[in-house]
Amino acid sequence: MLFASSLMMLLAACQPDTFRGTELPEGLTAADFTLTDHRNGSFTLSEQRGNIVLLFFGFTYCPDVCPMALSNWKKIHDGLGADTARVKFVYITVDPERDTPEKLAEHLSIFSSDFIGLTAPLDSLQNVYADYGVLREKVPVAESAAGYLVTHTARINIIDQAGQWRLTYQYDTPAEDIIHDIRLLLESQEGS
Amino acid sequence: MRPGKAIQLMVNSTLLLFASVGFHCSKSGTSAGDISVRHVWTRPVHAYIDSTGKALSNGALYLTIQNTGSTADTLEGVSAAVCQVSEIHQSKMVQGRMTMNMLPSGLPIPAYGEIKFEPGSYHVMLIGIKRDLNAGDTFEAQLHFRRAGTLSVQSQIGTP
Repeated sequence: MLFASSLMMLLAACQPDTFRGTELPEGLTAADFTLTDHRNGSFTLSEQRGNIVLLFFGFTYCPDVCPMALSNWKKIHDGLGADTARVKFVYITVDPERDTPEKLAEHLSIFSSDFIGLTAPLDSLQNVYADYGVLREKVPVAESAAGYLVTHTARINIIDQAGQWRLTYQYDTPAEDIIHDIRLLLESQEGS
Repeated sequence: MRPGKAIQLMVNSTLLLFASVGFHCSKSGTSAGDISVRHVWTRPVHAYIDSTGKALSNGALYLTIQNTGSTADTLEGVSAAVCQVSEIHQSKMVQGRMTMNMLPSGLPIPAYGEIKFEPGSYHVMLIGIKRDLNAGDTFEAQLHFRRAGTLSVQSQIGTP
């Protein structure tokens, strides 16, 4: 009995560790883009090669789900320790009308000074939304002081060090699962 | 004084009277009649004021409301001095997209029932936050119930 359970544990330990997020088909190069960052600088995705990029589409006017995703990112950021230097946290607005670089800077600073906010005219952003499967719709709410809200896909995406779009998660996936997958990607790079 | 202002003052005074006479506050929660409220919290928010003086930051108030009575009640509205407007909203995932709807008629609290306002679900949207909401601080909000009246609650600022 003891032998059988020891054998089971040994076999489990020999199994290769697998990703906890949803894996995308192999060889899917992340579409490149250049947008304006929260410091009014230019940000180009392809210039981030060598780092892992976490990508989320949200808006600062959102009081609930988007801050929840950013809170989750903060846990990931802090949980990675020194490895966080090898990860870029990139937040692209779905509300360019209200999300100026200054507004993005103010909002993201609550969570981490390392988070990068991106915006651009809506025409440019529409291409990025399409490339990453983001469905976004401005919804007028006449009875609300908000004026309008934005319905949008709320997923966290991971682009690996080689610029491949590898993994996707629900916005509320536990931080530990995403940290686990980031570490796997970092280890695979060290091993190659 | 404008008549509207005078009426508003009278309403505020009445609410204050109710708050001081009819309601019980405790460390673990706040209650009025059959309604009790606990676990009231908000994430930290930086108040962003634009060059025209307009407050552009929002937040969400989360809480749990319990109705121990045999009659349903309704949370009709919320007010808080820290923001310009408070509205009851619901986030919902619909066909892979996150949607947010306003509940202009309020939210029923069923008899012997409990409603949780939590991330990704019901929340009170705090629109136009006027000052920084810093972790560890608190602020006051008033919950307006159809039957139970108005309850004052203290929201903790932080993450759960």
